[in-house]
Parts: sequence; C-alpha cells; structure tokens
Amino acid sequence: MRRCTWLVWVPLAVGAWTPAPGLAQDTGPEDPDRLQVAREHMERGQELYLQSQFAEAAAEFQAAYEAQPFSAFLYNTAVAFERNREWDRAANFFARYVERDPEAGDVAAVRQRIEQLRTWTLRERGAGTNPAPGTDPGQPDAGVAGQVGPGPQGPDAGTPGPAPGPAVEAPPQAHAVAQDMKALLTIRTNPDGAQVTVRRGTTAVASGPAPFAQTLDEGEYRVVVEHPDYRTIQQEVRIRAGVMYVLFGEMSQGQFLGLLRVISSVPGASVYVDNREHGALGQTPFQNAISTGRHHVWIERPGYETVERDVEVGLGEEVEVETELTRVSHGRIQVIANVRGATVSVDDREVGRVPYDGEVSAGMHRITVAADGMKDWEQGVSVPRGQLVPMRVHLRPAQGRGGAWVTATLAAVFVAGGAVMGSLSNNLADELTEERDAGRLANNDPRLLSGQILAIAADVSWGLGALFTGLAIYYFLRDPLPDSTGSAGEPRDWALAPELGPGRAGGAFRWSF
Amino acid sequence: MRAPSMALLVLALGACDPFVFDDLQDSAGVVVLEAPDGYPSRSLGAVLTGFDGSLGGTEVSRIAAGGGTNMPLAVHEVWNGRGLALGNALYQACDDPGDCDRDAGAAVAGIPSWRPGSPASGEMCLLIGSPTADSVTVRCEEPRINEPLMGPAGTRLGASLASLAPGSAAGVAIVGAPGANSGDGAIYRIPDGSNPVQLSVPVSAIAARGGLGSAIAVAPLPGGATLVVAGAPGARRVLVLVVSSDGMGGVVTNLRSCIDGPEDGFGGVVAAGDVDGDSWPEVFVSRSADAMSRTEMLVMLPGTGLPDPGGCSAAWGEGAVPIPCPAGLDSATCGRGYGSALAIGDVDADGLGDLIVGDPSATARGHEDAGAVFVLPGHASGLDGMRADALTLSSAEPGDSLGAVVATVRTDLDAMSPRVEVVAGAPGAGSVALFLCSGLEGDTLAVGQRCTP
Repeated sequence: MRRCTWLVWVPLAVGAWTPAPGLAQDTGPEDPDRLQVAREHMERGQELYLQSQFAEAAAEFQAAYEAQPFSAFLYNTAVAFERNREWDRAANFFARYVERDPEAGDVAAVRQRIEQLRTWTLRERGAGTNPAPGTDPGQPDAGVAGQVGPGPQGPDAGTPGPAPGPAVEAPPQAHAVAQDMKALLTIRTNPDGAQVTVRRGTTAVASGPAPFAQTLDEGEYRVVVEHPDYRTIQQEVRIRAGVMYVLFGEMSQGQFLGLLRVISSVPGASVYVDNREHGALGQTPFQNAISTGRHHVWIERPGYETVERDVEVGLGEEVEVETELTRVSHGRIQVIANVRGATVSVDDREVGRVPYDGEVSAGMHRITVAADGMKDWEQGVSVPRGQLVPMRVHLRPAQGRGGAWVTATLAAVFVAGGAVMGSLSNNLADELTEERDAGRLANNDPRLLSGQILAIAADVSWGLGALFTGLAIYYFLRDPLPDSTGSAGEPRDWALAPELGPGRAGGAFRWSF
Repeated sequence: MRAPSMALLVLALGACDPFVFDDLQDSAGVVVLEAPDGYPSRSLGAVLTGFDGSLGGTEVSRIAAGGGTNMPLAVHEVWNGRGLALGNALYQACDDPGDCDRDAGAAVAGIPSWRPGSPASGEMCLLIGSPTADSVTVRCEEPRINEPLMGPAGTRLGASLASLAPGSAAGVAIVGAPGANSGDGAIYRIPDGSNPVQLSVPVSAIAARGGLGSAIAVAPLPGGATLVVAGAPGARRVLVLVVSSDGMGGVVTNLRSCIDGPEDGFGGVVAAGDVDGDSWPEVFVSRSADAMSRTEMLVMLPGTGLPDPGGCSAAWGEGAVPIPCPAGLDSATCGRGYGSALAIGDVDADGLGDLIVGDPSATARGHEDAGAVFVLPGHASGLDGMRADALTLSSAEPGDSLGAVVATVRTDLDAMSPRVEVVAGAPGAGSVALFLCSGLEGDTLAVGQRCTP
C-alpha cells in the first residue's frame, strides 16, 4: 500500500553569510552532525567577519570547510583573507574555490580577482610594503554593512573586488559587510532521490537529486522538488547572503486528507474504496487516511451480503461507517470423495462432479454422490445461509449384478420354457383326451409319453425357473459389501480471496479440513 | 419370505400334471398288448385268438397271440372276473421245449375247457396247431396241461383252427388239414378230450390240390349244429358244411354249399356268423394273404341264400354280395390287403353280428401299411356300410400291419347282454390291439375306456 504523508518544509537559517558573486553547487554526503558543525563554524566566522576580525573569521570558515567541504566556505575564507590584506592567501583560497567549483557562475570574475590579488602581492613585495591589515587600499566598498539580501555581488553588481584596468588598484578596504559572503542552500527530502531544481526567474541555476546543496548568491529563487510517485513541491525561497539554509521536504501523495473508519458487525470484512478492481484497502475494523471528497465504499465478507456506502470526507475529518453484515440467502456445499469424477446431485439433479463446490439454496437438501461400479451415497444435509458445508464421501464398490442377471435370465428361460412345454403338454393332453373320449386312443400312443415328458419337463422347468427366480432375487438383494460412507462436516464460513487479472475478475475460495 | 412364497404359488398354479397322461393311458380305449419280455419274435400278432370261460369258477377271458410258426403264444388276461385286467402276459404257451410239437403256433384257437369232468380236465385251454408235425397241442391254463393231438402224417393238421361253441355236437374245435390227400385237404373235428376226427366231405366237393382246410370258420346253428366254412384257396373253392349230431353219439356232416370263386386265392380267408339276425350265419369269403396283389374281393353269402351244393362251379354269382372297402373314412384308407383277415362278433352289442375286416396294408393316420381294422355293423339286410368305421392305432407307424389277423374277445362277462371287442394283430409292430370301443355309431364311450350302446 502506498504511503500517504504530509509535506513539511523546515527552513533553517543557519546564519548570515556574506554574499559572494556567482553560484557554486556543492554535492556530497551530508552528515547531519557534520552539517551542524559546519553551520556553527559558519555562524561564528560570519560574526567575526562582521566584527572585522578577519583572520579569526577565516579560521572559522576553514573549520567549516573541514566539517563540510562546501565551496562557499572556501570563497568566504578567501574574502576574509582579502579583507585582512593577505593578498596571497586570499588568492590561494579563491583559486581553491575555482578548483572546487569550476562550474560556478562567477568563475571568470574570481579568476580576475585572483589576478588582482597576485598583482597586489607583487607590488607590495616590490615596494617593500604591505597594505596594513584593516586599511583601505584605495577602493571604496560599494556594499552596505549588515544588509541581508542581494547586494553588489559580482561584476554585475559592482562587487567590491579590484577593478580591472592597467592601473594598480588599491586593496579593498578593511570594513566588512555581509554581502561579501556566499549563501548555502541544502535540501533533504523524504524519500531520498527527489529531483531538486533551483530557478531564478526562468533560469535554472542548479539541479540535482536530493540530498542537494548549492552555493547561492543572495536573491529570490524557486525551488522545485519532483518525484514520480509523489506530488511535486514548489517553494519560493529568499536567499540572503551569508546564511546557510537547510530544507527538509516531506513528500506526500496528497495534500488534503481525512480519515475513514469502517466497522462491521462481523470483523474481517474486506473494504474497497472507489474502485474494487484495485483491491481491498484493508479489513474491518478499518481505519486509514483518505483523500477528501466523496467516496464509494464496499464492505464485503464471504457468506455475507455486500454492503455499499457513499461517504463524504472533509479535510481532516474522521468519517466512520458502521454496518451490520447479513448472511447471504444461499450456502455452499463442498464434496470430496475417493472417486474423482463421481457425480454430485442435489435433490436428484446432477450439479457437478467430484471434487465439487457450489452454491445451493439454504435449507435441507438431499445430496447424492454416485459413480459407476460404486454404491451411491446419499444424505440429507441442512445448508445454512452463507456457510459452507463440507462433505467427505468414501464410495465403496457395488456388488456386481452380473450373476444375478445371468440367474434371472436363466430363470426367464426356464419359466418361458416351462410355459412353452406346459402349453405343448396341455395341447397334447387335450388332443389325447379328445381321442380317448372317442375311444380311439391307444395306450401305447407315443404322444402320451411325449406329453408326460413335456409335463414333467415343464414342471422341472417351472421349478428351475422358480429356483433361479429365487436365486436371482437373492442375488439382487444380497450385498455383502459395505455401504458407501460419508459425513457432512459442521458448517463453516468460507473465505473469498479476490482474484483479479487481465480481462477477468472473480474470487477464489479457500477452505480446509 | 414373500417372494419365495409367491414363486411357489406361481409354480403350483402353473404346474403341469404329468399323471394326466397316466390317466389317459389307463383310460385309453385301445389297449395295445406288447410282447412279453424275452419274446423271441418281433412279429407278435401274426396269430391271434380271444376266448373266455370259467377258471376256478370265475368267468375270465383271455387273448392269445403269437408270432407265427415256432413261436410261443403270449396269453394276456382281459377279464379277471371283476373287471378288465389288461396288462402284461400271464404266461407263454409253447415257450418251453417239449410243451408243443415243432413249429407250433401256425394257428390257435381257445376253448373254455378240455375234457370237463374228468380228473385230467383243464380250463381255459388253447389249441395250438403244428402243421409241420400234423398235430394240435392242447394247452390248458389251469391245471396246466400240454397234450398233443396227433393227426395223420402229412396232413398238415393244425394249419387252421376254429373253436366251437360249448355244447356243439362236433366237439370243441374244427381243424384244417390242407395237406391231406396229397394236398387236396381235409377237415377234422376235435371231440372234447379226443384226437381229431376227420369230417366226411363228399369227394366231389374236394378239388384236387385245393388245400381244403387252409381256412376254417364256424358258426353255431340252431339245434347244436355247426356251420363249418372251409376254404380251399388252391382251388378257389369254399365249402360250407353243416355238422350236426347223428343222435347216436356221433356226428353227421352235410355239404351245404360249394362255392368256387373267380380268382386264385379265393377262400383263403373265411368267416361265418349271423349279421342280419335271421339265426342263419352268413358266410364271408376273401382271398388268402398271399394273393393280396389282386383286386380286392370280399363277398358275403347270406345264410339263407347259400347256393345249393349241387354244382360248385355254378355257385359264384348267385347271392354273393361284394363287401367293398368303406370309403370316406378319415382315419384310414384301404389297401390291397383289405379282407386278409375276417372275424364276426357283436362289437356294438346290438344283438347283431358285425363283420370285422382286417387290412394290414391300409394307410392309417397318414402312415402307409400301418394297417386298419374295418368294422361293418350288421343289419337286417346284411351289413350297414354307411355305419362302417375304421379302427386304427393312434400310435400307428408305417409297417405296423394292423389287421393282419383279427378276432374278438369278451370284455363284459358280467353283463347281461353279450358283447365282444375287436382284437387285431399288428405283427409289424409286434403287438396286439384290443379295441374296447367299436367306434360304431351308437356305441359310445360311457364308462372307463369301454363303449356301451
């Protein structure tokens, strides 16, 4: 499940910083502890710089750099040495700044400034003098001390750096202002990896993945934080020189949430919101944040009627849906047996084959399981509403009736033979009686013997027919094999597992014995 | 338990009663007597007679049947004094060596007793002819008597036999001797308890090589006289004699008629009996069995119209009534053997004799040569051909030759009115059939398997 959190901007003003011309992006690991150390050194250096204690300020900036190697600290160190009239050292730190952040926007100006400082260094070595620390080398500072915000930074703003030209310019005056410093913007997001873009007007001045750090000049910026899975964050930021900004972006999927709580009389019901195909958001008792607005809620539980509700969720509002689940009007039976493919009939209507599960109306039903060569199993089963009745059936072989049929056939043959022979015998008797009555019958008439034989044969045949009839009845009724057995288990709830797939939607029931 | 009970009920309701056929068999109107176990011939029924008499004071009747020459005679009980007792043979005559002369069984006749009153008298006796031995054996059932009666050598005595009615002046039987006189033939009578005595026949009536006595038939005449019909098929001649007492203990023989037939074999089969109720027996003549290839010729000579014995050759054609095969019967159609056996008896108990004609070559129930017996009821005018019926075996098979011999036997010895039943031999089937119902119109099955008028 996707998280749903709030976005929180936490701007931290680490401290004022003397704005420096140009922008430089600093990237690298940002250890919060080390960042804090760097912030503290930067704040101290800024304070010392404004008190014109440039050497100490430079030391603090260097310590900040040691804690967190942002190029802004190198720049600020160079500026502090420059104010302290240590041209050579200032040139060296400017050179490291350029080396550290060669893509910075003020690299050209800084290089020119390095050249200026080298010139001063050579002239002072040639004159045997060195500008005294804290003295103005002849070029008045264009900035305003103590001003926070965009100032005369860089060439465009008329930075207080040495002016280009063939004449040797005077060293910068010792009076320091905050605008001399660079500002530092660091951005962290949750989750990491969001794309950060810093714009000034329509121009993107820096971009990169969070955690993000960028050296900026004083000014108005727009920070854009983008992540494919989260809402885009856009924030207007005013950057003042000499200040270290630490921004935390807590990204979220929505900016306006409420709280939905669903309670059912039977716990464990699945809760679907707005789109069932997306799956259940949870099970009752259910509670979760939800975007504001109108929602449709399904509450489903196998064996119970589905409940649907429309809810209106306001911003920060807790909406509770409490429902009474009622069982469905039908039940289910599940039949397993030792003969796969055996037919399952409900009230003499074949409904399927083993293994079988299916719906039946609630109530009393006669369940029959039958298979060729096996004895039928039949039992009345009461199927409760919304519940599954499991049945386990053990079909046993049926007594073969071949012998019974053979015996019955023999019985029929003998009976029919007896009837035929009896009829012939009777006919002969009638014929002979007629002749006898006419006085024409000879006592040695072979028909007498034939008739007698036929009569005896008929009787024997009748007797055998009766015997075989009895045997057939016995064989039909005789059944030494045990009956098929089975049992219906206690009704139980069934579980419905939704199954969704391309082009289909359904459910899978699971049960166990 | 319900299903098995229902099954048993259905079984009981649907069961067939096999004993129905036993009942049918027991009540069958035609009783077929099979040859006894071990009988040496499969031609039982070639010779046949039915007779009755008193056995130990009980009136009984028997059927004696044999397979022909040199075959024993199987004697079956018919009436046992209480009722019909048809079953297996009681005994066999001439089945033991020495019982009878050689080749016994060519002819048989039954008599109720032999030498009654004497210490050696026997009841229910058979006269068994042995023509090759020129003898007749008397075989009595009780006590068992085997007494040979010898005739002159070369006479073929015993080729035919006919028992006489009790009290006849001629004795107990008339026996033919067709070999006598070099084949001219002769007729003998058997006085009770004595050897055969030749009847005196006018020489002029005896045709040369005629084989007189090849067939014999007798019929009682009023006054104890007996009408004797003797066939001489070798001469196509039939002699009708009247044998009566001479009043001095002897008998006198008179030639009543001398009838010459138109074809060879005439006289081979003869019968005599009153069929028109005038007390004068009619004479029936047919051909012998070996002449059956010719056209049928069965004629009746009415007793009152017998030709005078003046001239044998002139007799034919005068008063002879042809008896054709009854037509239009469903059960049988006549073959060429129609008339090969003849017998007379009142089979429908109407008081008139009925003619029984055997036809072993008849087609019965669709079986050729199954044979049939035609019954032509007597009528005041002679025979009623319109009421004639055919008796066949419902078990008929081709070649049974039912009717090769026919006879009658009494089955109702307890009845007030005498009644005889038809007995016919089926040598092709080796059986003898007793028809307990004549099949004649008016003679219906009423009780058991017997018909009553």
